[in-house]
Amino acid sequence: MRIAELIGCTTLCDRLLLVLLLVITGASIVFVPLYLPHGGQVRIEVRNKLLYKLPISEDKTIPVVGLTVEIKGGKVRVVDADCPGKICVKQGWIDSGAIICLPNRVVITVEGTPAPPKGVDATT
Amino acid sequence: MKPKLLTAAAIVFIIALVFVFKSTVSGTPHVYKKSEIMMDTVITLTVVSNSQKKADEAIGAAFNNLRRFERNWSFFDAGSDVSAINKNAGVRPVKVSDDTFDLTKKAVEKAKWTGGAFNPAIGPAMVLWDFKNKKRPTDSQLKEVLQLLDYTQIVFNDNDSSIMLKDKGMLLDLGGIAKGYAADKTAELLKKAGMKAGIASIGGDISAWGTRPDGSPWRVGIRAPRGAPDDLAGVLSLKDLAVSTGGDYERFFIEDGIRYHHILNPATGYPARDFQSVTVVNPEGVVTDALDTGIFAMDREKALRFIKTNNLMAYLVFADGSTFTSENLRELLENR
Repeated sequence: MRIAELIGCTTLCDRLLLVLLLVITGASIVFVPLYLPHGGQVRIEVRNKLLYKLPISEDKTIPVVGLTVEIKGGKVRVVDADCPGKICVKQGWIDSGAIICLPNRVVITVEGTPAPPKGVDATT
Repeated sequence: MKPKLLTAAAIVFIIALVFVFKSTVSGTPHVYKKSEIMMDTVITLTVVSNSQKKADEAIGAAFNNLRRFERNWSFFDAGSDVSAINKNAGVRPVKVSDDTFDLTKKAVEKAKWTGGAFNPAIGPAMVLWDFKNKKRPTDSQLKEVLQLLDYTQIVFNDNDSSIMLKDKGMLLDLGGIAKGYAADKTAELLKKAGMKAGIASIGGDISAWGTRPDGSPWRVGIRAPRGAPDDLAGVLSLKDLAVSTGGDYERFFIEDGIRYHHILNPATGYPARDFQSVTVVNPEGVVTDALDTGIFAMDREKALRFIKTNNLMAYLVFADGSTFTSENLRELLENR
């Protein structure tokens, strides 16, 4: 059966349904990403201002104020820092959560990853 | 394919699509987290929501409110309510925001409750210590300011929401209570914005409400006082509870083998000596924050008596490294 013949034997309701399906498909493409978490983004903020938003899948090494941040193999770490404690460097690689350097006021967050089920959600 | 069959197939497809869309969008709540550096500490807000957009909006509004708190309560910012009160000590009362009035009143309440062990008038002693540059005051410098640490000389006027420090030289310092109060207010704000579960963590002062998406309670680690920053002494399972820990490892320096830290005994002006850390769990963050400092400033026997008398949930690490867990906390605490 050719397409013209197929269309010819559809009713008005069939055509309306087809249009509706196309609208729903289009709307899903637009709205679903708005509601779902965006996975795989590394946000780097300095003094609470967003400086970089980078895909975690792209390997990269970037200087951020007193720190050197490395993204590699779907993980992120601080390679080097000029702060005295270097707590951010000691934290090592992360693929979820955040690395925070208080002296340099830098917050590096991996977005869109849920809390670890067996780890802790916060520390006091 | 007959037209009728095509119509039926399309209807079934649409219904299936609607169900899939609905369950994707609203059926599976996710955890959203954002950290900012504010109030001289790291603030992390965690919420459980079906929508990233709603979560982002709620978290953004909560951070804006925290910025307002920071402006009002900063000890160092010349434009804050606290600075205005301190500048006018012994001179005149200062009209303050409702939040500052409420918080300061609560601070004085907690000071009375702990017999002055928690003291919002600790400012004159605190400014003599410089933990960053490892400088400590002399005995005579501390003795000189002790009479200024009198929280009963903080006077309130309910009619115009004003506060006055009666004696010149007094300094209001809300650092020992403001973060717990801010955690309470932030949790309230996020709940009002429709976030059914979450954690407001203002430094180590935490208010947790609801549960994780899988229905289990939130897990909050208690830092081990002498370990690496990520070493835990225990893990608390919390639902609709707040927790705060005061530790001698937060701001300190060591001189001649003695650790000088930021939790001062208001009776001497020197760092309190009987604990490495004090953790308090209570429905209110304003209580946990004030009491972790207050209990830390007490001696061991007085602290244990205070916890028992008030039926408090507490976990203590004494100066010698031994620990105490109140009976009512044992069920919630998993030791590491």
